[in-house]
Amino acid sequence: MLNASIYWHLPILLILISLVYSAVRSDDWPTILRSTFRWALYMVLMFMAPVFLILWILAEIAPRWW
Amino acid sequence: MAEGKLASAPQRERYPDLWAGILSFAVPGLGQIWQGWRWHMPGRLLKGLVFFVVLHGMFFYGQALGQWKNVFLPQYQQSLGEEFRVSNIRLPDWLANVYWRPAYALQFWMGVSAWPAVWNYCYPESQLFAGYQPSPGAAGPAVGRWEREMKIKEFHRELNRIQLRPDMGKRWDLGLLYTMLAGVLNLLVIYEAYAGPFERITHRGQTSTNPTSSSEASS
Repeated sequence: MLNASIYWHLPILLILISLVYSAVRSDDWPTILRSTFRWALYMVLMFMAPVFLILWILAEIAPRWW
Repeated sequence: MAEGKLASAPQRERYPDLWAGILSFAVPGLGQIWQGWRWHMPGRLLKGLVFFVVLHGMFFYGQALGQWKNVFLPQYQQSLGEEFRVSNIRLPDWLANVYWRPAYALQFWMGVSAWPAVWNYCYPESQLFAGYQPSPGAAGPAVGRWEREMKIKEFHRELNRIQLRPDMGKRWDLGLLYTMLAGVLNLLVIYEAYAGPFERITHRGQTSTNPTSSSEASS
């Protein structure tokens, strides 16, 4: 566990936050689970993917420009 | 209907539920568990259990990552020997200490699991929680500034030693993040126990189109 990459915490955090956020929005479990999946996907695509893209451009592409 | 007679009672009679909010503040998820039990709603009871397990899991796992040293309310202000002022208004020492340690302002909302830090802050000589969430620099009124400062330095030497361990890496920060997130998420849980699921609140204006809600409105 100690040797595992800390980035494995990322999907766990993502799912837990989505689950709690979805659960406070509804009492209906199928809705909660659907919403958890939707929020997790939304955070990956709309937040983590752009951050990853920006960091990747800064680390890999930008150094070639100057 | 499936969840019993009380479950079909109008939602406006159930919320706001102050006691459930207080229960979820003290123990994350307990308000929802109590409501689920009282109203015979197993789905809500299960939701409370999920909140309980997830938030406590995050909080204690975060503390374990930080070697049980990342949740504390320090007495930094008392060791400074000067007043803490904002716009020339003197703030009380406890507020100044929260300013110096803002992470605790989020961790506090985790309920009783995070409150030993307050106990250790207020009663530094008490051995009730011993080494759990100790308050750096905390000492009785008879203790001078210099001695208090030494206690703070000693505490931070220990924190530095933990953070510089070769196997630690970014785990210290990750642990702090887990504990703070658990506190912030419990704010949502507290409000949900008090006011009900957020979708119900969001769609309040659309109740006339919802057959379930229209029956509630007529009752």
